[in-house]
Amino acid sequence: MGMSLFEHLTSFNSLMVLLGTALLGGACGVIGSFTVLRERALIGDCVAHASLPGICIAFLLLHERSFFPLFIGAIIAGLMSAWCISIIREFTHIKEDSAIAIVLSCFFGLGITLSRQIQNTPRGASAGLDSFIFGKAATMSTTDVQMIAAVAAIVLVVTILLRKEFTLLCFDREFAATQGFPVRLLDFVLMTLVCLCAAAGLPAVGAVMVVALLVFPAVTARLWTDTLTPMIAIAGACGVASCVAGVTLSAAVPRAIAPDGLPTGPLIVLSATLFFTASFILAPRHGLLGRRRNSFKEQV
Amino acid sequence: MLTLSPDELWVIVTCAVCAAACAIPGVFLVLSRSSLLADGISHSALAGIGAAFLLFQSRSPIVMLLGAFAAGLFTAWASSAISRTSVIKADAALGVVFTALFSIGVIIITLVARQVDLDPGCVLYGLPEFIPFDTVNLFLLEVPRGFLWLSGLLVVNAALCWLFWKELTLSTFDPLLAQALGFHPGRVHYGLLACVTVTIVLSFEALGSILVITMLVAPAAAACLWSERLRNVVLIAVGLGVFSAIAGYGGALLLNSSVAGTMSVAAGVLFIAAALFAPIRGIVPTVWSRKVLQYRIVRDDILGLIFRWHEVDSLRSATPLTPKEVYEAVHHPFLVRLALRSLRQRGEVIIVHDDRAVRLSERGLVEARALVRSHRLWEAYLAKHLHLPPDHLHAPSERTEHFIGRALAREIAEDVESKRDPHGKPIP
Repeated sequence: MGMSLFEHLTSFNSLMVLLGTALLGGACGVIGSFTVLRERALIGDCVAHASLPGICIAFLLLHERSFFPLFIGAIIAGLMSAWCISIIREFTHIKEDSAIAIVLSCFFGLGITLSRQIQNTPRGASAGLDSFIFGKAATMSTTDVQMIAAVAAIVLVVTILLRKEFTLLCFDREFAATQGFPVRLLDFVLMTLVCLCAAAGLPAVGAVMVVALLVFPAVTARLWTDTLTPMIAIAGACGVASCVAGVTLSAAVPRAIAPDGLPTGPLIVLSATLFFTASFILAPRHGLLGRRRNSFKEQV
Repeated sequence: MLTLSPDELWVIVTCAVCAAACAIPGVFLVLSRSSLLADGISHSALAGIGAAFLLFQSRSPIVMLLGAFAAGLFTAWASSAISRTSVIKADAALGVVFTALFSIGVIIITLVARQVDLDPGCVLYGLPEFIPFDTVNLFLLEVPRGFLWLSGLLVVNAALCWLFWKELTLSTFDPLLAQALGFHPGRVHYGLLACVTVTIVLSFEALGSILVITMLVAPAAAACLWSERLRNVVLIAVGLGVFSAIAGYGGALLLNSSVAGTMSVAAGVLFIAAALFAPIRGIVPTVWSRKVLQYRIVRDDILGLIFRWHEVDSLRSATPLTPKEVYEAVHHPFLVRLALRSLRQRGEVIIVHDDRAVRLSERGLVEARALVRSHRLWEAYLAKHLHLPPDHLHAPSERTEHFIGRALAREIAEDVESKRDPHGKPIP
């Protein structure tokens, strides 16, 4: 098995999948650190699900299934959903959790309405737009990987340039506002980066897996450190590691167990879950063992 | 006139029953700020369904329901345990738990896909259009199985809501008081989540795993905007749910599209309508009442300005106050013109000398005097009781003067017992 696994992993297609998911995991880990600290962990959930109507409208307008227009449609719809949430939060008495739930599910409902209409048209039968919920990492194309690489580069550059501003925004938004930082603009930039990651990740790993990549690495990193820069670095590394482990697992599963192979996206999340569980138990200060030891020391 | 076949009627009725059954627990979910748990539970249910199949090798709905039930409660418990015992916040903890369970669910279903036609897509989208094709014979009547399950759910949800009304209300609005009175708000919350889980799983067939979140949260949130009494909120939520089911079916016919999708869009539109137009809490009434208040304050400011201009300074009284100066003094370009015009029409302000001078009429004088009186009384009151320095008196009084009525002014006057304000100006 060992040799064939190695051969399988080094084939061009597998290398593409490996590269694409690893870059995506790194980018999501970095940007997820900020959304988790901003207590907006589930905004990624909303944005990922809300992309569906954007994708459908882009398809209806252009009648073709090329990557770039659908990508732009997904980003615009995602940004609109984030904007709707902030409108509901600011102008009504509805709490943020309900706002997220409503916007997420209603945008998705609109998306389903549109995608069914597309399916019912003679030309749309082959559109297969709904495959994006589960993602098909096994069939990642060179374009997909290029797009993900571009997104990862943008995320990295913007994060390095705006590190101070994002830090302030996440820890003390009011203070940032009083110091004259354009907090609304910064929030918008952060949301745009989340939308970029979500839109690039949807065709690769699917909506729920994008949410997982935005939350898991950041939360795992949070358990290991209390300082922001190491946290971002650990989260990025953890995102890459989860994806590499997931893709390897997917290739390593014997055909006897799963004749068609196991989907890569869920295996990536499973690896991320393992990393998280290990950290939850072992992390020095915030892990279960660490805390037990600290409370024991205090008692002594 | 549109005629509906019996099958179509069954679809509408089933969707309406499903929406009503979702709306009842939805209200308490929204009020206890755990709407996103619905999202988490509906995703993790997949793992429960898969695990139940692996364990019992049975496709019976009861087994799957039990599996989903366990997974739903586990999601709620695990996410609250993670956020309670570690540095991780509640939303991130929920994100961690439900995505992990969803992935496990997808893996299990892929593994067993050969043995059983569990289609994740079916769970995801919901196909109420197919409900009439699976019927059971009940008292010589062919009744769709989905309808029976969902109407049973509606009856149970309504009965639970009625039976535990007091407990639900208390632990939703004041968990600490509920705890102190011995009502176990934690148990009530988990009971509610159990009810939500069953509701979500039974709604999968009609609505799918994402759109069931709409029907749980959107009508309930809209109802919270329309009314402030819990009983009315529940009733309105049920009404809105049923209405969006009917409207959604109409929309689906019109657009030739998915019933579940259009239902969700209809519920979303109803929520937008509530957010915009709900009497007290809607955006339009709120903005409108703010504008009305702003207009009133601008009007008061104009009256006060003219009054003070002609009051003491004899030099100034000789030079007329022009409308242009009024516009410049009151910083609100649109409202100040509107207010001056309305004051003039109502005869409180007279404009003389070919539109060059502004004066108060008898009626305007009465009103302006009352306003300036409120202002100076409040300055005197602040100086007497809060011992504020003289230069700190004007700004708070400028804000408060608009809200001091005649009765309050009389009380303050009796209290301060002075004919002059701290700056030495007479209190009119």
